[in-house]
Amino acid sequence: MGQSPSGKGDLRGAAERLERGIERYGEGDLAGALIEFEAALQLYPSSARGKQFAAWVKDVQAGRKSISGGRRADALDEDALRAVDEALEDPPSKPPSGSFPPAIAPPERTRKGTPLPPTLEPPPPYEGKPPSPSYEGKPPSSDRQRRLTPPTRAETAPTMAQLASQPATPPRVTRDAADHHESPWDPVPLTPGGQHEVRRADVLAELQSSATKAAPPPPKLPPEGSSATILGMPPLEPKLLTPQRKRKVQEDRPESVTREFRSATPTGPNLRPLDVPELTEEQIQGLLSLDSPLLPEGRTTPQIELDRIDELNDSQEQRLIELEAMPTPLPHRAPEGLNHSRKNDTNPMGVSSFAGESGGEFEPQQLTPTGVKASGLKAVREPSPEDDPYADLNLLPLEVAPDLAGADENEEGGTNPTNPFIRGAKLAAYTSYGTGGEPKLEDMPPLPKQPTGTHKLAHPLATAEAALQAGDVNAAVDACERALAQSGGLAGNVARDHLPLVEQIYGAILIAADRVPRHGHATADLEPRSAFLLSRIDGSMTVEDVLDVSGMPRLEALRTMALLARRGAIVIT
Amino acid sequence: MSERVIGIDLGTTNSCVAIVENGTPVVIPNRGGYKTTPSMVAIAENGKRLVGHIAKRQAITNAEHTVYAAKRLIGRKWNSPPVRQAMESVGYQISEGPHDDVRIVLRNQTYSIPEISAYVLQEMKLIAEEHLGGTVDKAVVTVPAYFNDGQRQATKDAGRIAGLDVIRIINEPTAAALAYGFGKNIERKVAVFDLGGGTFDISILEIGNGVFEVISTAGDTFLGGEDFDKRIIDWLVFGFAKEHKIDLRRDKMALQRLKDVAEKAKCELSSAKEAEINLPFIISQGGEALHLQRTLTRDKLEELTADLIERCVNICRKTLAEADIEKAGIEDVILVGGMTRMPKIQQSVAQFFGMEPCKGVHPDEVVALGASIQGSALTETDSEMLLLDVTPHSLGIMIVGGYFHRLIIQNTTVPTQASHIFTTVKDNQTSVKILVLQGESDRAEENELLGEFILTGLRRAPKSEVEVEVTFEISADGIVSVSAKDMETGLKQAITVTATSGLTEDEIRRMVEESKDYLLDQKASEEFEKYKQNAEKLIDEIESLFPRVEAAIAGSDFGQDAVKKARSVIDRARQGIQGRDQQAVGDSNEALTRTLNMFKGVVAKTRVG
Repeated sequence: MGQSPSGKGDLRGAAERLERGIERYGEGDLAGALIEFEAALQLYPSSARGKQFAAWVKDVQAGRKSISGGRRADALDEDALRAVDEALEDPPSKPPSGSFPPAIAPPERTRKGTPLPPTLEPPPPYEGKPPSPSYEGKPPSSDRQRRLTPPTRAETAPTMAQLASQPATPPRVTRDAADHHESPWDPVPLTPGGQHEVRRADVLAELQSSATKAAPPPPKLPPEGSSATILGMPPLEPKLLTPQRKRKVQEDRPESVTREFRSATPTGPNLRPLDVPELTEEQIQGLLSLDSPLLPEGRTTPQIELDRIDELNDSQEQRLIELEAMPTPLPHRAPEGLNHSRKNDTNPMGVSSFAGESGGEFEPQQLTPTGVKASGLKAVREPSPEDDPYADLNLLPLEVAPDLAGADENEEGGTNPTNPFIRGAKLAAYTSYGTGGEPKLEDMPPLPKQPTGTHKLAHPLATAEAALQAGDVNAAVDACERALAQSGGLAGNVARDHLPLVEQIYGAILIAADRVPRHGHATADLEPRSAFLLSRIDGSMTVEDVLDVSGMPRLEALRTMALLARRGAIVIT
Repeated sequence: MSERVIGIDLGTTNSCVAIVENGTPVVIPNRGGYKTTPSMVAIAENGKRLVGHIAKRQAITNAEHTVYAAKRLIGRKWNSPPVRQAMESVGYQISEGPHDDVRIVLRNQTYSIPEISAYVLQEMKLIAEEHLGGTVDKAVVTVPAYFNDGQRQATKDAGRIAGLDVIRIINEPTAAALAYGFGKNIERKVAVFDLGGGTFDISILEIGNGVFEVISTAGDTFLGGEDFDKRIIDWLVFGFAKEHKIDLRRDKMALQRLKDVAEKAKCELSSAKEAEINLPFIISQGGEALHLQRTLTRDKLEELTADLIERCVNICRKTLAEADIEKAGIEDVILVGGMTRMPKIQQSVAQFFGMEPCKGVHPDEVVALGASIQGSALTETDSEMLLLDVTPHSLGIMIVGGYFHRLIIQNTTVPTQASHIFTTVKDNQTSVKILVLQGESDRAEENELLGEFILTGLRRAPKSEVEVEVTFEISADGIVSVSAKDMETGLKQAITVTATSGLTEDEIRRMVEESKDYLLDQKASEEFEKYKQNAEKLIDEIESLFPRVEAAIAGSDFGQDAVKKARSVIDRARQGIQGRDQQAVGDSNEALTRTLNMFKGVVAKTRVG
């Protein structure tokens, strides 16, 4: 499998892949999107967003994930979960059986989109400070490594106190302890249960918090064995999840009534990338009152159309309303204007604050599905880049890539890093904590330094080099040939500027300079110069000797020998 | 036990090295298994020095920087006819040296002829050392019988530059006869017919009682196997041009392939009636590759080279006449040189001498074997063999009228001494100028000037009354001493004619040091390459395991430290490779091996776990 060069990664390549994955995702091609995200991870394994996006897609493919047995304080009850499920149509995906050692990643499986089986236990909570933003060239910090290291079965689930104290990174949610397994390729999930779980949890949390200003009571743990207890939140009244106006997720298999997707079945083109809970009219209007760029006038995407709620009616095709999700692990913030004192989906108990009787783990303005304490919350963009977990990947597109975007997308000024399909210029409203008011663009992570409309790799031989590093010599030579062909051949600037690498690529086929080449099988269609080079081989001269007597420039001789070896005209002994 | 002495046949086109082991002379093969090594030196585009087979493989594609047949130029003066003739035929640049000698320019570097020959001798020395497993310092080197003192001295200088103490220079036909007569108690008068790659020599020897006396020697320095190759090449080129209207000689790669295949076909035709010549994709025309395919028969080859064979026979005829020897007096004919394998040559020799030539010795190896026998004889104290050599040219002085007066006749056995009394030519002449000449012409100006000196203090007297005795002495090593003595007063003046190769002592010393440095660099380079390849292999293996190891152990402090250290080891190794620091790369190899073992252990453990 291709690996990024040790110690470094191809950031630009990873960014390109991420963008492409977003594009695929927007087209509803989950499998293709996953391939792109994982390709980005291959180019830059440390990419938190790559992992995030890949997990997002996997979760969408696999359906809901639930945390095992009652260790989470913020689990939804079973009814709430069922109601959400009913809104979806695809059947749940059956996780593959079997397991593999936690330390060894099966990248092949993930690449094909096969969801990983659920773990037995959730991963340990994220501890310590976020990793250093500048990863390149530095060994990863212990914290960062901790985040990237797959959890083992031996790791225990966090306690309530740990959960309360941990930063926004939610622990992994699993569905079934028996057949879920971690692998190092599983990124830390954005939220428990995946994106749709985040969405549901967020909405529920927000709605709940809007219903009441008091701190919510301590979360009631769901009964043992309940698959519904995923977020540790108190059970919701079923009616709160009953939509006033039914909205269906438009899919290519209308007969499907659940929201869980078969992992092996690629989703249809009309698949909505997000699941959202069914909302009441009141909730919808509340959302609409937000300055949400999600529903711009007249803006549509090929597959996802974000319409205003008031334009919808029963006779019209149902559309999915996207909500802005909070960036993870950034703390979540309730949308402005929500009445936290009201009972709603996010605050089914109608408490005004969750920091109630028990001293509360939640504060009204900082409701998160994970119940992170305010003190544990950190600003999205602190002055110190050290706290920015994504600062090392500065090229994440805050602006939609030009080939994806329309004019209004550029106006909006960015995508949500956690959900690339949320286009929101007002991202900062949900990401800048402690500042209030209008978010500042300078708080946003820096834009990638790429020319508009072009996506050029910094290193023209990057693909070849990566293939060489991965041990795929033939692919490296093919990539090198392409690069040279595009740059004027052996006399071009690529060959001139990267001569040692080019020689290394061709030399890799010849194994070593002291090897003795011999004639292989006869070949047709030889150039006279190639034939001359073949004639210099007498079974006693080494590769280096043949290059010395080739009568042509060394690079040309090296390339000719390498290509002859590939054709079998030369055998290296 | 006596010191080891190797015998080297430094040929015009090929060289050979031999040694006496356990009383038997054996030829030492080179690394490729060949018993002869081309006497070629080239400087590649990257500055690398190529010697031997590898230089020959690119002799045409890199003609401007490949030296061959340096033996035709060694020890000669810049304005001598052979140098002029060579300049017209070779592809490399020949220039005048600071001492009226000849220099060669390769890749903007100037080399003397002894330096070029030294590279070949150095190669032969290395071949011998590899075979013997130890150093070799002494050698006997052969030269053509007609080489003058300057040429012989230049050959000795070449040996010295190569790190060899040339204890004796012997004539090639003498060495061949030595190998032929070794172990055989014979008294014979033999003719040595030596047709090599670049030159032809015919020598008449008288062997008896362990004494090998060269009666006569002659030859042609521009007649050899390469001329035969050229005839074949021309035949192929003309045939191809007739068919395709393309002159293959204009394409260096095509010409190189033609040269190689022509030589190969020539050799094949010594045992086969015809040879298939097949050169696919020899050249392209209009985007289409053309092939050359022809069959050369033995008859056709003989037809193409008939005049060359005739030239050889004519030289033999002339040599016998000069030596006043009848063909019937020749009892054996020894064939020396690879070209004597050609059936037509053997037939012509047999026809001329009226007898079948002796084929009991290997023509490629016999000269080197004879040189090794001589070397062994010189170091063995109990050797009963005495090898007498002869002076190849007459020695004398210039006398009135510009004539050349011989004191020592050509082919006189050395060591020797000869004297003659001369008188003054003018009244009251008080001094005489002695010009020491070497050659065969009666005109002094046509012979080679070896040296001159003046004897003064003669008494004033009418001409022809004062007598001066001039004495020539040639030592076994070929050093000529000339003295002139006033018979009345006993006043004496003398000079020692030391042959010069055109190089000063300082130059030779510098070249000797450079040669030593080159050998050291070569050795270091070979060792560095070994270290480098090992390091690169280890680095590749480590990097292939890195992701898995990193994933497995980087969660712990120890693991991170290990990963950090592993990266540091790799970086250090890479720096050493880039800086060509052998020490650093060698040290890194150990660290890389440890790192790889550690990684393998981690991976194995995680597989099991």
